[in-house]
Amino acid sequence: MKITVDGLTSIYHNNTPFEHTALNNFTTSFEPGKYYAVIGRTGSGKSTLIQHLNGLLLPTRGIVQVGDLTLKHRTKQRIIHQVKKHVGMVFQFPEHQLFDETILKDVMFGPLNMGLTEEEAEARAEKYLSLLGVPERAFGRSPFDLSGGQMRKIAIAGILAMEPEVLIVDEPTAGLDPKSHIEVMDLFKQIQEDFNITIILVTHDMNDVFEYADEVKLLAGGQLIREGRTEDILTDEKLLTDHHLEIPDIVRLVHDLERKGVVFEGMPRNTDAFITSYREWRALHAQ
Amino acid sequence: MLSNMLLGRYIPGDSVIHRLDPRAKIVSVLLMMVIIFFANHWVGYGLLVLFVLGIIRVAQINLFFLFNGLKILLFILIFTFLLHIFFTRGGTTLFEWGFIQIDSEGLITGIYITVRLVMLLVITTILTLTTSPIELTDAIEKLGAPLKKIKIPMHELAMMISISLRFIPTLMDETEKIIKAQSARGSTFMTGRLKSRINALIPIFIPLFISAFKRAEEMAVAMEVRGYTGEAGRTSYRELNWHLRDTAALIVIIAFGVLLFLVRM
Repeated sequence: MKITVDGLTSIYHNNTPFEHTALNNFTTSFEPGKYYAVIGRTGSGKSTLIQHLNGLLLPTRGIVQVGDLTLKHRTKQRIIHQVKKHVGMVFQFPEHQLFDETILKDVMFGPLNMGLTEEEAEARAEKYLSLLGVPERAFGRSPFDLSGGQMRKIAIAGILAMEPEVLIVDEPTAGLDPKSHIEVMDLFKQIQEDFNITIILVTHDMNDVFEYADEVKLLAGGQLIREGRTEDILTDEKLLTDHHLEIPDIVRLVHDLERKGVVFEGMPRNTDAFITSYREWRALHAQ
Repeated sequence: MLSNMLLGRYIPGDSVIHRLDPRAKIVSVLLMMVIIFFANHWVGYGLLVLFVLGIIRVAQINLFFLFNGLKILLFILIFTFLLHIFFTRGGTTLFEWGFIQIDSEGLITGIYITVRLVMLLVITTILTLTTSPIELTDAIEKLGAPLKKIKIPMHELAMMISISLRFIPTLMDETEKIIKAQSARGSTFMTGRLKSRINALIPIFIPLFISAFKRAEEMAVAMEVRGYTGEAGRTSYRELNWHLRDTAALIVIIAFGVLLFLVRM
């Protein structure tokens, strides 16, 4: 499912003293099946952008085209509901949206809202809970008895069970321990590859962006500054520093090594690839 | 949506009203609440509306913005209005259809009571819009100081009020976030049948209560670890100073009250 944003302008509290333009004449597109990262410092308009992609916010001006559905200034609730079937959204701290008595019921909430029958919804819930490694005996437990990391997984399963074609994730690892962090990030990569869905990741963690994303969109002041392949944008140290973003650790390390005469072919994207590159370099250069 | 809500929200500014001593403002609001009930016919109500509009002007609050923020209470106003229209008898009958009868007296009372309610809302909203919660608490504590003599814990009460006021906007923002999260999961509490709309509130209220309780607990712990013990030997960082303008403000309010009393019929 392709998403096209055309001339999107978004103004909060239009015509009040709090009036604030969050996005200004914004144009971009998201191709199906790719992993995107939306980056930019706080207040750059990232959150506003993603809320437009599934109809939580409607454009003040311009359009958002989701497949063959169009979101405009005054789009009907019925269309918006359709969009939500196709575009799933995992908010920051998604565990805050848990409410039902049991884990299973909570995950079934989304599918049921999409018009599935009880049996279908239950089957979906079981499928995605298993995918996330939740044992079957835990299905009947209350989601509030779990640890933060586990609660987040249940909440994510609740979105996945709706089987969206595009999945938007907003800071999915905020407040997680390092182990859960890796698990959650690997999970999104895995479902992108296995189910061929589009992932749109919003994050401040440039290491995650560098490791997982295919393409990056850099926002500042409500405008698109640059978009393109991750390896082109995240290796541009000046661009990142200008926009108050961290340089990924691996990029920094590779650049430091280059200055010491260790020059790799291509840029490794994660720790394992880095070690492989280093071994290759050793094999060629070691006496 | 909910973020337009103005109840309990403070907007910093630099008008005369903003700079008044919070004690003067609270006393003025209390006086106004009484004075509003002096008006009993159109001259009185007219003066009252003009006076309140004047205050809004002096406080430099955007009128449209103010009423937009109070829209959420429209339901109560309309309900009150209709109640009076249908159930107050007297004067000439304007409209009759089956058991429904509208009298001129009902229409007039309906309008008067609605104006009264709107004025009450506006006056109290002006207070919270122009006074920071901290100032309000300080003022409540100072004004209530005599009550300490009879063992009423004014400091604790003031603290509770200020914490509640402080958390209204936070809870509003939180509600909006949860509404968004659930509506991203396809929850449709804005459309559909009444029953399904009510059911759709459960996924919003439960997370909201949970986070409110968590927040309250964290707050209590944070206060405790910083050694909060209530009033015991507390001095104030902000001293309240009574200026000439505060006395003047009270005189204006009282003068207006007298005027309104004189035009009573």
